[in-house]
Amino acid sequence: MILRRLIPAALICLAAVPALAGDPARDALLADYAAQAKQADAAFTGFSADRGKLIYTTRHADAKPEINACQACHGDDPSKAGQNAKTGKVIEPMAVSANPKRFTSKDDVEKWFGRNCKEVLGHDCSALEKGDYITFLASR
Amino acid sequence: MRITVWDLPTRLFHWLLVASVATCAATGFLLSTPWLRWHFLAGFLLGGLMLFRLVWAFKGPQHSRWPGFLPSPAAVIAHLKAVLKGQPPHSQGHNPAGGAMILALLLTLSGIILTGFCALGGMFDQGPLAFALSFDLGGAIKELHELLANLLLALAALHVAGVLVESRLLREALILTMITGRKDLQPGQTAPEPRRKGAFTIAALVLTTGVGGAVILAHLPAKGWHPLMVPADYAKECGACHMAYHPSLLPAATWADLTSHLDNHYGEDASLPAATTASIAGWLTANASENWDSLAANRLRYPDALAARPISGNVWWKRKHRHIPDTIFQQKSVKTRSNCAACHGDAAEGLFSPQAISIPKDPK
Repeated sequence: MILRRLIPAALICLAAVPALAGDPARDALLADYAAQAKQADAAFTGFSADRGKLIYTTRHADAKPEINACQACHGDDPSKAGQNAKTGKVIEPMAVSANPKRFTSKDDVEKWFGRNCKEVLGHDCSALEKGDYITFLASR
Repeated sequence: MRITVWDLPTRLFHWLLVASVATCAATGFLLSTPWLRWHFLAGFLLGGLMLFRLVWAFKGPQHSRWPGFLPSPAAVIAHLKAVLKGQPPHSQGHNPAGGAMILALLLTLSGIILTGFCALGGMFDQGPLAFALSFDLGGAIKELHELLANLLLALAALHVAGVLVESRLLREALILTMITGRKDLQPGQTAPEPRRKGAFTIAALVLTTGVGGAVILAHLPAKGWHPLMVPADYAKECGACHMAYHPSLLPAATWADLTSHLDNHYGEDASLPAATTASIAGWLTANASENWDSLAANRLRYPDALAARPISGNVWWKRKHRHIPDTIFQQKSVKTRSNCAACHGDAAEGLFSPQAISIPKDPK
């Protein structure tokens, strides 16, 4: 009897693993950003990889030309290594599939959003933007 | 009757020496820094050749031995007078003037090799004398190295001229003799003594001891450079955006200034938590260029610590990179003059040795 309930539950859990990419620290971080997004806007229903992709690819006319988009340094294909546009330093891939360590340290994630959002987007990123962005790259 | 005046080892020595000296002269006088790896290699070979020649001066065949290079000054003058008259007497081995020239060449070359090892050790922190010499001493001795190298070129030119003149006057192909080793036995001469017993054994022993000793000495800690553990926070935080510059590249005051303005770091916000900044700044200043006697620390040293950056603005830096076109710096794999590690394989260790230079050329 119990088995009949457990099997579907287990199947649902298994199906959810790829979507969450399976790292508890990243999940916690996303949950944290979700709570903040909900607080900022009660209509918040969840993060969107499509919105995240838009953040990743949008070019900003106000930014310095060599760093006018995330993909300027991180590359058109986030599953490949990028390169710092100024110094030439190679940057590990942003896509979680290629670099499972991405978005697993809250300090690092906040440090980079803190620096790069201002530099590239021209403003501090909201929790919604951060969550969308991570969701997009976790899906890649 | 044909006799052997130069045995095979002597001939091999002669032509390997010619090849090594030509390599050293071309790389030392004409070519750019990355070619110095061949200069060093040919220099090591010359060191081995000279050890061999030292043994052969005692144990080789008659005409390879010392007495042949130690003519009396009177004999040299008499021979030169005879040459001027166009009638030099025939010599089986070295004639008196040629013998004196061999002595001059071997002594000058020994001096060049010794001063070369001093310069290599003092300036590049490499080789058997790296443990003993400071950068300044190595640099001063390098001047002597260059002086002797000029002298050697002059001597080598005189040596070749002498050989050509004698060949013509005596109608004897002296250069061919250094290839075949053979000459006709002249009337009234006896065949030369062959090399002495145990010559090869002693040569092998001396070479093994010499090379082995040099290798052991080369493994002693260098005077001007030492390996340095890079702390994890420096590698992670600073190394995320650019190569993790070796602390020996800048003076402590410059590092202190840099790390106190991370919010405007060459136009970027590179600020870090205070504790991380403090720990990185402490390590950088404690290992700043004042603590090193390496090539980079000496060459990049500035009287005004705050003028020491950017490093690519340094006068010596500019001179060393003057032949590298902008296209090399601008290509994707380099991007900027501040990306030392794109070409210098040992930039992260602060060594900047000529052997580690590899300039990339991106496919078009």
